[in-house]
Amino acid sequence: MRDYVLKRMLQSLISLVGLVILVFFLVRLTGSPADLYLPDDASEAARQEYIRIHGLDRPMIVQFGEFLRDLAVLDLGTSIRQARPAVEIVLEAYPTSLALAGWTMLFATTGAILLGVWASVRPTGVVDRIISVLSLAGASAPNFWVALTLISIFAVGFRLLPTSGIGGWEYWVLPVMVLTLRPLGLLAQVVREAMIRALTAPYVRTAKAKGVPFRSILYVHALRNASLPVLTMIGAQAVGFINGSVVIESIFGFPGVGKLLIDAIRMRDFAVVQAGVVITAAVIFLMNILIDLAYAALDPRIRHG
Amino acid sequence: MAIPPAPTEMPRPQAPEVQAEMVATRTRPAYLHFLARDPVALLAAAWLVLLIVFVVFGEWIVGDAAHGLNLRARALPFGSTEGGWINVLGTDALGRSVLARIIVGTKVTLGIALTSAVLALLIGTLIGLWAGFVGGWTGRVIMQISDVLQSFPSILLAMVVLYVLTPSPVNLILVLTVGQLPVYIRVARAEVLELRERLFVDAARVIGANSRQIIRLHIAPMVAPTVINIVTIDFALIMLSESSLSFLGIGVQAPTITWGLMVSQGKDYLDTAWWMAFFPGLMIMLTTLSINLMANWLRRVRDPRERWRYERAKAS
Amino acid sequence: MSAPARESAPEAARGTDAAAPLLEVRDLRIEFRSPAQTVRAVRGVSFDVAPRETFAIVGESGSGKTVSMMALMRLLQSPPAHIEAEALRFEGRDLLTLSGAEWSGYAGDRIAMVFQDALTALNPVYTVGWQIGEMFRVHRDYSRREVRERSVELLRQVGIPEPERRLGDYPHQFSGGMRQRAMIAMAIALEPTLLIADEPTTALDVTVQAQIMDLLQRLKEERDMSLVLITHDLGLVAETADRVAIMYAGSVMESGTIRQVLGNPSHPYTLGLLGSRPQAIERGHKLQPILGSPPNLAALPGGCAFHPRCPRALDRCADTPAPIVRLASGQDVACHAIDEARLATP
Repeated sequence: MRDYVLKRMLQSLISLVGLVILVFFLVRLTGSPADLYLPDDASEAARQEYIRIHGLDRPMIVQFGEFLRDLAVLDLGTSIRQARPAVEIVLEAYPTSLALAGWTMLFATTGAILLGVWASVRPTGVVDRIISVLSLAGASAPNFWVALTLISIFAVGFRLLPTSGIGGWEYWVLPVMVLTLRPLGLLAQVVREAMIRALTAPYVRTAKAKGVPFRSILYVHALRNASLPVLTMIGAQAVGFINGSVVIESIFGFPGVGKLLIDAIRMRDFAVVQAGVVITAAVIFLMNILIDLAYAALDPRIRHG
Repeated sequence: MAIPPAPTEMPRPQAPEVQAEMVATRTRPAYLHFLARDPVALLAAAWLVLLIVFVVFGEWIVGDAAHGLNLRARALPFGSTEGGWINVLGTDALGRSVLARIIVGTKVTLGIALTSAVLALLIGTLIGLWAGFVGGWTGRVIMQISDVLQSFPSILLAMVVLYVLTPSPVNLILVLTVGQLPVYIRVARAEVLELRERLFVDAARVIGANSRQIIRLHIAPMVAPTVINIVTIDFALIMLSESSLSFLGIGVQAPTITWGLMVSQGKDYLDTAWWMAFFPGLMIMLTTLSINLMANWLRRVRDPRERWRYERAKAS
Repeated sequence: MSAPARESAPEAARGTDAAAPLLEVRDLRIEFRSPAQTVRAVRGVSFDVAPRETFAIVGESGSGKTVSMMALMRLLQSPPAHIEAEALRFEGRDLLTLSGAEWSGYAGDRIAMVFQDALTALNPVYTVGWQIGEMFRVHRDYSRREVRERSVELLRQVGIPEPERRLGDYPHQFSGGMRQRAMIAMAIALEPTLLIADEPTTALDVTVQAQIMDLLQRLKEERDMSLVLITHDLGLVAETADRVAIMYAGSVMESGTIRQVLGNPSHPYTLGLLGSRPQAIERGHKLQPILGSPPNLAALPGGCAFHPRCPRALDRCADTPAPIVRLASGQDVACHAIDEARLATP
């Protein structure tokens, strides 16, 4: 068990390093920031001066070397736009995104368990078919469209909720709702399938013969066994969530990491893009470790095997 | 109480020696039969057929209404019949029929997704097969690169790349394809690793088949079903990705029409002309849903147990 | 037994005890219906189980032995299962008419069941102690400490060493035999009057098999319990069973006390079972399997289900159900040929 976790950590670490390298070169390919930040009629001399100041004229290899050196002390560069350390800027935006992610996964997981268990009790029955189609629909809906539709209805139509920005809880309702939809749909299907498999297992028959009430069989005996594939799916949703949050945070003007990254890419702010991607990868890395630990907590066979 | 010894002479029975009752299920699944039985899948299939009609005949039937500017008919609301039934879903800011644009946009939307999906399938599977077969460090390095690619949020990757290259359909397809490669690489490699150990591969080698032949004749057919399962769902994912990118402005560019782009064009008119963004987005959802439903249905139909039940039903 | 005229249940099927039987099964019929076909798994089975007796039901897979007991325990999904019986009485109460709430007072509490493979029959994510304790938590109102003490005692009674420590272990941490003992401990926790054991030793090594059978026998005696043993191995029950019913394709072929059936095996199927065992053959002689293949329960031949494979089959075996014949030795046999033979000798 310990070997397994260590091996996974090593693999993730290598992925992290690879990612960093990828980011470094990719970001610099999008063109020089000099073209973006300086006015069009700036003189060539001004342009060269700008490039020299920001060290953009040195060979890639040298820049990469400096990048690695700085990385070692967690210095991921200075934002060209804001003249502050990029790491600082990214970390400022993180709590918002983390909160968004937290609420989303909370609602998605709870809803998925309720719907998935309900659907699994009588497979191919009416309830099951309805829930299956609805969850598939939720997973199929383009998030930006759902966002716009909900804004139309609630913010513009009924004027119940704000269209964008951040503030009290009312600013969070729509973004969380939109982001929850896809993971809810996907997880509900996974829960359903895992529960169906668990409910046909021999130990359920034993529990029935013991006179255990059905509710207990569902939520105590079967669900625990069904939780492993669900956990796997939750882990896999992380990257998908980032994709989603990039778009949604933009639409709702939500000051999270997604919006930050999109703006940084548009503005050619290398440092912020780098910092954003690297920190996010590190967060995902940590999350994967937590999930591996959760596996072990849920299934004693993994603990002892 | 001990068991008595058996009588040494058992009389021979007159019974028939063997009761053959094998039902061979190496038959092709009766797709149409299963389709007819499942109303939801039937609807999904019908929808997809409709889309194919749009692709083939769309431009020809409603091309004018889709491209032609008609400022007099600007922003007609949903449900209006002004200018004919074609405007029943409303018109956009330039007076063009939303319905017509949706119909015409089917071609590019589906075309890009299909192209990327097929390319990703072919290239990714080949790389994965090769990585698995060659093994060793090369194989592991390929997997590592594939992992890194997979852990990079695809939208960010697309954004970064599309800022370097101009956002044309070709580049879009390139980005979408590359983003989906890791899944196929991983699956194909996993299958090869498992199959490589099987006896029939050694047997093939012994009779002198080279690696390429082994892959083509033995391994690829076993990998095919798994991979085909994936491509159906992948197609839907790619469609969603393309529409997101077009929505963000770095996918397809006007005057080419895709549904995602239409939503983007409509987002500034939410309070005045909501139908401009709503219906194209609805199309995306219904199409993605239909594809997913068909993918699930296909998976169930190909499950040998379902087919066995059907064969028994037919025989009795 | 499938008899043309409705006779009252034959004497040998009744317990030797003069007191009322613990379990009465009369004309149990179980079908599995689907659009494709109807499988007749149990076709009119009747037997009694007396208090404090070991009753064995012996048959191959597909004979209906397991399905009958699963129906009793309400473990069959219905639909597609259809269960009918003239009577299915336990301690005098008709089980078929019990409501769900009433039945939950029986399951695990008065009637318990032990299954074949303890590794899959126990929940892998909960400790053995937790699963045993569940019996008390569901059916009784004991304190945590009392539950724990009783669970330890149960493990001790089934012969598991270091019971306090093992309470906290998971099923996969036990050996096969120990696991089966744990499952038995769980089943007897509430002192049921009837314990049904479905192939309790099939998944175990031969040496362990004997130990488990001994354990079951001992527990039955200590606790005034009846034991129903379902098995395909006639040899297994020779030492431990009081009475036995031999089933084939959903019907009982022969039934009586162990002494009667094994002392004078009469039904061709019983003879076939006994003769096909490798242990029964002397050196140098060939193995004697029962010829033919297992029956298709969805398309059973008319008359006696065994006749296609029977060395003594008569013409009428193909269309008339076999009559139940009471032999001089005391057991009941469902067979035309034996009936014929008996009539022939005055």
